[in-house]
Amino acid sequence: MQNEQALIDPNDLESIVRKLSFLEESNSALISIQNKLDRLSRFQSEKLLSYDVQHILQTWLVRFRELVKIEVCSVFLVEEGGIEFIHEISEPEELAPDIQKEVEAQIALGNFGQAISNGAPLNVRTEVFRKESNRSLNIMIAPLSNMERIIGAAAIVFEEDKEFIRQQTLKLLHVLVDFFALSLENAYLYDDLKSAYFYTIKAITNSIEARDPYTRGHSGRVAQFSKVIATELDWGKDRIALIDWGGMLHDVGKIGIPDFILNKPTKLTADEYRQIQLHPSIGAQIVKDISFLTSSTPYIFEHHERFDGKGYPTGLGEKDISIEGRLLAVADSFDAMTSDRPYRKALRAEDALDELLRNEGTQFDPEVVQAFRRAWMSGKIKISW
Amino acid sequence: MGILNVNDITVGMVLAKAAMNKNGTVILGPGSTLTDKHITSFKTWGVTEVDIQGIDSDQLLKEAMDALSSDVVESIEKELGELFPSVEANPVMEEIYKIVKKMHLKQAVNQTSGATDAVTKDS
Amino acid sequence: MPSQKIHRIINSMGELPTLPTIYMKLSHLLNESEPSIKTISGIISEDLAIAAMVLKIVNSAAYGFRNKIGDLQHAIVILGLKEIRNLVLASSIYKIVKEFESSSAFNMQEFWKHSIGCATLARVLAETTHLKSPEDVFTAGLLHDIGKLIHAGHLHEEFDAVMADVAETGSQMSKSEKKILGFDHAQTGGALADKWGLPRETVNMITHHHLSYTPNALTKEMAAIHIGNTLCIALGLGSGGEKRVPLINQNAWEILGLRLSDLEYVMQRSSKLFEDSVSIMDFE
Repeated sequence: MQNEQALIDPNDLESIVRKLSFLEESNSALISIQNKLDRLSRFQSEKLLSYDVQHILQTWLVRFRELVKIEVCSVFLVEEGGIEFIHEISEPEELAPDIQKEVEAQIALGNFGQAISNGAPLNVRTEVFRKESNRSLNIMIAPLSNMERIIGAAAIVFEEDKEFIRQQTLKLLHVLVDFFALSLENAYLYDDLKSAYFYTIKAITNSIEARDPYTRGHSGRVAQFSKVIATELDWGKDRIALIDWGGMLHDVGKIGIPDFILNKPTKLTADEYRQIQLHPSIGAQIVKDISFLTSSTPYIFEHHERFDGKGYPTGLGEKDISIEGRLLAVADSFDAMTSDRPYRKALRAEDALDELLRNEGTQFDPEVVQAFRRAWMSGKIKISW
Repeated sequence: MGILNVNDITVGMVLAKAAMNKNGTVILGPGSTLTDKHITSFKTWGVTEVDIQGIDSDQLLKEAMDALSSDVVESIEKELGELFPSVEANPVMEEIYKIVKKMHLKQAVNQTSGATDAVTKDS
Repeated sequence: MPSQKIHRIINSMGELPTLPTIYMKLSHLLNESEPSIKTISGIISEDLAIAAMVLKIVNSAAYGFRNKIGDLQHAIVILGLKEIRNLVLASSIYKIVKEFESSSAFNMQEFWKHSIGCATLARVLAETTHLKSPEDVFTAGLLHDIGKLIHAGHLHEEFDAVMADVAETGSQMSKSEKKILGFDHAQTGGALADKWGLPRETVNMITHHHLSYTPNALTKEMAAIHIGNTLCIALGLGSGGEKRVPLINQNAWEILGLRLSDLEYVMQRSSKLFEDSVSIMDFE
């Protein structure tokens, strides 16, 4: 009997009850997946700032852990043109030998090969892993590849337990592994790019030094000294890397200086001297458009400035000169003094140090000189004749 | 020269042709003498068969059979002979026959030596 | 086409094993947008034997869950409706098979093992060649020889004659059946599957698992069942009454696209999985 004043339609009630029943029962399962997705999406929005392969591997292992109860997660890498899959990293580390044994067993069974040649992840029971513990564990073997080749494989050993929502979890795992491979690929490309630049620049530096034998190895040594001073000043890894580049490249501008000026054994004319003084700005010009080297431009530009402002090209003084520029100035001068030149013989290291100290506050920043002195005293500065 | 399954090759064999997986990735060139490492590499990359110089799979089966008593071998051959129709000129059926025979022989070898065969009995 | 004839025969048989209604009900539920898990587990529990079997399988080593899954609702949430439905099917077939009596020529336990063997091989073939749903192929594999049960149960005399003919001549059962009955167990099985309302693809996989001729629409899945069946007989996993290994249809081999060199891997892997399955679902 329809009651006109009924607040609830009997038909509706049934579907409402059904809906409630459904929500209640699948609640825990959904919450579980929801949490995992939440955590994963937070990871995705974090821009991966590092192109450091180690860092990437670590980060991704953490992400996989968000998804499944992993026993161990490992990455094996194979070099371009290489054959062997070499174990790169495992998390947790202590299980590295176990996972390697497991992978060997999977290779023998042909499962590993199937995954690689199919280019798709394979999910099988583990063969040797934790067999004593009577737990049933799965291993997912996923090939990692970029556009051109297989770069390695990920091996993830996980356990299915009551929280494991099978199909969805496996699908998500597959998707994650794909992203992971992309990250790795990016990092390797970046590495390759850096290498390419490095070797190009090294080639330029070598060619300069080939023309001017008295300065052979000079850039390398300046880079070394710079790193020692920077370490003494407690600089972070990234800044030390930049000063390393700065040292390698500080004289790259000399490629614009004619031979006869560079190698002149006698005193330079004013005009010739002016030409030499162009090399910091030529160097800065060369470097400023190379993206990962842009930040080292000022150091190259400023390595001939003086603390008292009487340097070149701009005549900056004291703190107006970048600390890196002030540091390079010390390193550069020290090596110049301790090397044979066309116009004079090398000084002894102790005498060169004395020169630095004598010129504290004028040519050189006292802070940098003192750091150099400390490094010298603790034997960190090495000269090889 | 014969095409052998990757599970049947041993150290010292020489490749007649390059070893490739289904994607055409060459793992090892022809003329190479196989080492343990090579064989593992084949399995790693999904190479399932290779062309070996101077040996063929019939010969291998023969060697396996020599390891057993003639009674055992005879009974296996009789059983399989009844089960399988004539498989000449049919490469697929021939391959199936070979694999089944190999599995039977292996099982017989394991039984006589007392080892347990992971493929058949115990889990 | 004898299919009309077979349908008539099937319809006249009466008291045919029915695929338990729970499977049919579950199939319908799959199409609904918000199937209540309570309803699903209620349906399965209508047949206690099947509910028990499903839980037994879920808790077995094949699934490897660490903590025992004590209730059906939980199993449904974790595995998903599709997989549960396949488990229900397997349990249902098992139940049907158990109701038949073994004869001297035809042993039920061996028949059951042969069905599992074929299903396993077909699934591994499907996985290795990247087919869309290996689980559906597995299901069809379990059902492929169901026609033999019908013949054994409802056409005793003819069935005995068929088995005698096979023993004497060494021919395939299908050939003897055609001689004696006018149709074979693949067609019977297909007709039954059709009557049960199973999907068209499944019906086709069952009807054409012999491939004595190549039908127009030969799919990879059908090829997988056909080849799986041959491999199962060759490996001797259980027995469906065949005395000889049937030849593989060349077209089927080509359509499936498996490499010859992958056969060994498929056969080894399947043998192993077979041992696992049989240990869970063995005859008590």
